[in-house]
Amino acid sequence: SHYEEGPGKNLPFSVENKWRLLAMMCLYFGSAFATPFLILRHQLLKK
Amino acid sequence: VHSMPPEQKLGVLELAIGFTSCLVTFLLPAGWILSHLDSYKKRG
Repeated sequence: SHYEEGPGKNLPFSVENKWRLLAMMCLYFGSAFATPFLILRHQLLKK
Repeated sequence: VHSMPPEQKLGVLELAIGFTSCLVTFLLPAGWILSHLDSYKKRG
């Protein structure tokens, strides 16, 4: 079978639109970085 | 390995928007929680 070749064609996400890519990367990396802080907050708030 | 020059060059404004949103997404949620730690401890 044939696959498309070229920059961005072998990735599991789209790099076609740079603003969409920025938003998606912010969500992906931002959520991962925020998770431990949210867990800490959750632990402190529960009685 | 073979590469080509960028299809579209980034301007200063686009760089500023990109770096700022990276900074904000990392620092804002963590900073907000860390700055409210005391209130969480009192309520918990």
